[in-house]
Amino acid sequence: MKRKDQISGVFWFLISLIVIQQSLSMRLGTFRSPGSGLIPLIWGVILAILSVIIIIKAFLRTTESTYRMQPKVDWSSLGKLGVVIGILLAFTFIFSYLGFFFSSFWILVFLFRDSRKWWVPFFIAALTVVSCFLLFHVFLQIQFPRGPWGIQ
Amino acid sequence: MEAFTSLAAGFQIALTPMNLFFCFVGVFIGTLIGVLPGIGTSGTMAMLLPITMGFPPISAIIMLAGIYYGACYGGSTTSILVNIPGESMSIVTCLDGYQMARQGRAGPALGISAIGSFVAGTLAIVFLGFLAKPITTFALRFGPPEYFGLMVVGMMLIIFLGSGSMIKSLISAVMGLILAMVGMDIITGEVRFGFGSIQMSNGIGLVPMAMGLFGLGDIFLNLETKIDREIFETRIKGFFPNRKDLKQSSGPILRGSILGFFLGILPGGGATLASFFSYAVEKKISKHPERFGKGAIEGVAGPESANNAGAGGAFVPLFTLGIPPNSVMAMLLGAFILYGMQPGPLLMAEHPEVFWGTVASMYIGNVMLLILNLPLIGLWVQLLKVPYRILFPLIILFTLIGSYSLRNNPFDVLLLIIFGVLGYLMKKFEYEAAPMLLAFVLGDLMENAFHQSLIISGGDFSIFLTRPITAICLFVALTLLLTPFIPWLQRGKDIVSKTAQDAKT
Repeated sequence: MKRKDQISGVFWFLISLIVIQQSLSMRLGTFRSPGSGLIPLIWGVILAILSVIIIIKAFLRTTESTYRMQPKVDWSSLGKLGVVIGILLAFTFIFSYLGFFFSSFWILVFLFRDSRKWWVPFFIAALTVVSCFLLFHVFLQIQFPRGPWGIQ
Repeated sequence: MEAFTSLAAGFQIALTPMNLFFCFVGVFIGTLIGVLPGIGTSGTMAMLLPITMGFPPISAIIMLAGIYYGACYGGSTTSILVNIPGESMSIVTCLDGYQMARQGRAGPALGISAIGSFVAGTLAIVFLGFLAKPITTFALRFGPPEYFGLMVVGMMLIIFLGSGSMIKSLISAVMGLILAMVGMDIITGEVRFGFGSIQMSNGIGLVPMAMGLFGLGDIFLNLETKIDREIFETRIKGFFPNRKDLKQSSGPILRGSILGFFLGILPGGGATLASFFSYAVEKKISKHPERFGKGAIEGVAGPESANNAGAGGAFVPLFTLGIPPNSVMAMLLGAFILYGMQPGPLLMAEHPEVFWGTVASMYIGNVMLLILNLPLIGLWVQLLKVPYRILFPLIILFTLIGSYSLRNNPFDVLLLIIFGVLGYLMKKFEYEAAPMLLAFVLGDLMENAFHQSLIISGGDFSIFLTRPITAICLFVALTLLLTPFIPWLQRGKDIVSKTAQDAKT
């Protein structure tokens, strides 16, 4: 907890600096006639104060708390998490170019890849993509981007 | 009498085939996410919100409301059979529910949970129907300063009643307020925190934020922990509790319903706190408190009734004042705004069909849930056996489609992922995400109320002190803020946290 609070406190403090810097670049006005920057500035300063309190409290704490709210981390899964986040980010960028079918199919094949039989991820991914297309596009009439071959 | 007439009109709306269908879909999805651990109510509502944009607003609200109270029903199933709560509001049910299952009494535990939920849910709707009119009549006298005060005290209560560190909850709320300011300032027209991006100047969407914090964030967390779901393998039979069970449970159900409803109204209270308090009360007044934790039926009946009544109570501040008391209601407020309606004192006057139609649908939904939960228990148990590695890709795809479909904008998908990572990190670093979402939803409303108050007073800040309701609200908010320095108040907060902790451990 001690180390976690130090890290998170510094993170929020840096965020507060960005908020304050951005607020100061806007018109502040007065309390009687506030400009766009005044209230964000107040929140930025409050965030800075709160993050400093977190940091100081963490430094003053002498021992690591034994109490843990979150379950113990399976570190081997952290890599898996990183890869999933990477795949999702890639999806954001390819979605508009490759369209719904191709981009969704490939991320699903990847996410279902833990199966023992090689064809299972392909089968489930295809089934899911077709079902989602029918539900969201045909039934709910949501527009998806078209890929290079004119396929959604 | 007027309430009965309005309710009758509400039933006419709720009983149309389309609204019945949406009510069924809502309670079914609610039960489903209640049963499945790792999928939260707020995340699910955020995921489905874009899909409902094509529906008539009343049908969409009926469905979204159904998800909330449906999740209260479903959450108990996993608590009793697997010792894993599907929702935080069912944590306390694990204590005696699972013990009852181990003693071969899973049937009566599930039965009393469904009966208690039904009774409490129905009572809460009756209270909601009758309390709404007097509160809205009173709230019609409120001006911007009163709303500002109410929003401040509401937010402070959420921070105060949160289970974690108060400073961390404050940081979460302040960040929500800052994020609400991203985009164009509606008063000056200036773009705030745009960083030169056109996408950012449109502001941050509620749906990608909520789905990221509560949906994707939970999935990321579950990916690094092994979800162990060992289902209690036993034949579940005899759902109907015997006469002794019913006698022992009637008091807890009634007390849980009343306690739950009023705690549900309280910002930050809601169904989870209601269930913890009900358990603590039942244990305290029981002649045999030693039975608790060893399969006492009162330990299932009370909390399960309280959490359902709490879910009903949570609709009161949203429908009457337009102030959401928890993150789920914040999502519902977001839905109302997307459909072009503003919940609050004028909702009953301007859109009576939405208010009374939703209330009536909740009666019907409760009956549907009773039918869904007991005879279909086998189906829910089978669903529990679906491995998480199959579920999570599907949820991820739904969140991606959901965030994209609202504005057909890939930038919202990017926001979803960013908030997913933030939600994950907040959980790891033990920050609560609910204050952030609530502050985000209330941020614009609060800033507008603040500006309008100053316009009314000609820039004089004393308006916040001379209006009695505002002054009282701000005084209460300040007192809550100073909790760490007021010993008796700190003791009160500690009791709340300890009750929650006792139930969790």
